[in-house]
Amino acid sequence: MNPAALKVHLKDLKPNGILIVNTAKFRPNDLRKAHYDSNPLEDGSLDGLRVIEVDLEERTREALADSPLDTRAKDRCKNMFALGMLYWLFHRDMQPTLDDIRKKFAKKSEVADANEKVLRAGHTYADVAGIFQTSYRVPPATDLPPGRYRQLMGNQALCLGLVVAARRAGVQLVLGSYPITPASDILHQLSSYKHHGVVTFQAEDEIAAVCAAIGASYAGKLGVTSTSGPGLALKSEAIGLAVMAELPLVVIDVQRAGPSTGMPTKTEQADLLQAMFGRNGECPVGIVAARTPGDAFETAYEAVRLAIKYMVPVIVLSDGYIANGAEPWRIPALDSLREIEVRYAAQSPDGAPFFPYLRDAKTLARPWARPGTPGLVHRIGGLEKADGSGNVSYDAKNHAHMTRMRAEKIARMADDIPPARPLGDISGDVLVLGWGGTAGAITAATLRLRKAGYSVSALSLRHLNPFPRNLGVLLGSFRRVIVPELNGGQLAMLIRSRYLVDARPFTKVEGQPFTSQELEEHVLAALEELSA
Amino acid sequence: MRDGDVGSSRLEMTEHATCDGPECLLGGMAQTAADRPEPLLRAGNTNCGGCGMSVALNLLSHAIGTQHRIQMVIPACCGIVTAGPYPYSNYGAPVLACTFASTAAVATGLARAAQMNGESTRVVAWAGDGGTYDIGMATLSAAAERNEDVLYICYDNEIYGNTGGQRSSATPTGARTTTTPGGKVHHKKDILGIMAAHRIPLAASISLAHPGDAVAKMERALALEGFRFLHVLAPCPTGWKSEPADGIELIRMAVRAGLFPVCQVEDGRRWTIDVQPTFSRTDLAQYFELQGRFRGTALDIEQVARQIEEHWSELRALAAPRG
Repeated sequence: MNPAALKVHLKDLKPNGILIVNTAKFRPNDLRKAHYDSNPLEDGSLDGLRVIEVDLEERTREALADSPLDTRAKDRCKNMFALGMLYWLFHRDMQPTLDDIRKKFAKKSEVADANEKVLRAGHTYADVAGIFQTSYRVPPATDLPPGRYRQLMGNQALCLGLVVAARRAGVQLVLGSYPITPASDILHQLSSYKHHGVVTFQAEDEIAAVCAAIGASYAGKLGVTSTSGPGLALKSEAIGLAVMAELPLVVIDVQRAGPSTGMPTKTEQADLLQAMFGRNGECPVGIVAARTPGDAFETAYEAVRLAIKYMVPVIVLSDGYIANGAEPWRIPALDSLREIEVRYAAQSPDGAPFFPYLRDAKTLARPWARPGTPGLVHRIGGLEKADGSGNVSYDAKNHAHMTRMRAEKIARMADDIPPARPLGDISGDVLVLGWGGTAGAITAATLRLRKAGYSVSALSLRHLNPFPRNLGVLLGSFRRVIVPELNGGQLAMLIRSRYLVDARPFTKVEGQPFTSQELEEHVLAALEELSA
Repeated sequence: MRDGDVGSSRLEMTEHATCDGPECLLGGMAQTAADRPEPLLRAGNTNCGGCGMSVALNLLSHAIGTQHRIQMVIPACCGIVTAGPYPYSNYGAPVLACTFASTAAVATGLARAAQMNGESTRVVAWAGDGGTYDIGMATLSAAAERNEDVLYICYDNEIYGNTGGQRSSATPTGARTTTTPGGKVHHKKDILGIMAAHRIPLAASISLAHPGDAVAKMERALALEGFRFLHVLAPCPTGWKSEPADGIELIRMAVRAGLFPVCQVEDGRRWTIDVQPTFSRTDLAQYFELQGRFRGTALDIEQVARQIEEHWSELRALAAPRG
């Protein structure tokens, strides 16, 4: 920690937490740059923490006394010294990092040597200098179900989910995308899946990207487009076209801090209302949200399933931290994934005219007609169409009916998605209701509170439009509903208007995720208020 | 003009670069107080070493000198990263950050406002190849067609440098990018031809290896009224996978080989070739060899040479004196 880092991250430390300080960076000039009036190492402001003072610069230079590198290059190795200390502190095997160093600096052996040397020096220093009173062993996770796992980042999981869904459905996947942080990796990754029949297309802008996907869907392929918030705004009109034409389309929004360019590399969940309402007219779409990097796989799969089955656009909300975050992901058994039904329209055997809006009785989906199929001459597009025939229609009653149909298709998905199952009990004092990437912090905070005996349950939603059928009942079964969100209170607004529940938003828009600790404190305060 | 006789000595022909004495650094190419009290690109910026865009900004700073007040419009690109997070900025001029597709439209608004207020402010739109060739093309074309009083400069590093190195329609055939891992198969768009077809007062290409010619054209472009378009080939060591110190030399090779024609078009009709290439095959081969992005791709130098030949026979016909 240098003074600036200390200032930013001190609040993340628990009482009695371990703080490793690089004393080389606490000279008067360094303190001034971080706007410290006095040295926090000396003024008592770190009391109650276990402060470990190490002159990383000096120690690193010592370790590299024989190295041919210049001093600047040597100083750049100091992070390895700190890492070596942590390896000792947690009894971890250094081999993966040693291998990594060799790989990263394969062409610069003197740099690799130096990094390795410093890493080992840090480890030895922690061992012999007696600076730590204790060390830790983190046992292997035992609560994970057995199976084959792999390390996976959110964007990768999302891509795999799309590819597996497309393969399962037997429909070719066509991605139209325009590079934007933090969604660009999806374009890169999917372009490497040509052998799975994936077609990728880097468009000249966001509108071309989504429209190419719509074109592919019109032609009977699965159109997918990936973007972030500003790109979703540009795609709005086109998404409206897909709603009107009733075509399957998967739109991935890897959210970042907004509005406008905002903070491209920082996370936020502020596109929920944009996904929900950000188009002209009554224009509902399905919305699903990924909750963890691994969960992005199933979320993407679910989006494809719903888009094809109901012939609607489905927006997948991920965020910057899910996209770039990684977790062990259990490779699912194929038969654990739900069937994806694809029904292309076929020529009527008796030569009867084709009705593009002849709906499935259950899902209300219209038939998917591939252009050029004999006997399926039809018209779709952005103009309002008469239900059934698909002729352009300005008829008042038809417009009201079609508007209702488009909304009803989305609403009926609620019968096709799993009911909400809270972590904990189905009634009690507090329900912590979240969606998307807050799931980890919410789960951790809730488990701790439950362990302490509090009546707290948690629910992290994947399906945001429609909501699970039982959500209203659940919300009514708790004395207090708290909705933590990385936005100004968007889900809370939807919940309040839909269910007339006094859901209390707990919001944060700092480009940073919630910590489980701040959630825990907030819920504790609410519990105290309830018991008063 | 011959390729050999341009460079720092040519710069002395331009008006305010005739400084001598201790202020005249690097043959007049370094920014001094004689140019502008404050450089357009301030020291201490965080641009990559060997960034061609930065060199172009310094040349523009020379051209602006003390004669003009400018306002800049910059969309998403490395150039707006240069502006830095508030309250720091590396620009010594007002900069308006705009949405990606709207550079020329926002510049239109600024230029019209300056006109209405009777100000002599020169509006400079500064965008990369992605913002120019691709997403910004519609507003660029429309502003050119309306002949707005805007100087539009495209610094073209042939890649989306700011979002992870994807291809753009300025990426040349054979170049590897994150979205063309085997090398791009399509041609580079002829942006100068496109802009010339709008019959704007001036459309010109600028070589960073020929600073005298570059500054002279920038000066002229700043002084002219109506829509002016300058195309700068800007080396990007990160995207080109080249040595930062090789950037200017690479441009010199591209110009010599005829790969990057340095020319200008007035009113869409009068074409002038400003630097004659030598069509050196050694330069062409070296240009590709020194850049990692062409390594191991299906680049066919013979084919490139044939394309250069074809392009130049067209250019010569366009630039031929008319009877």
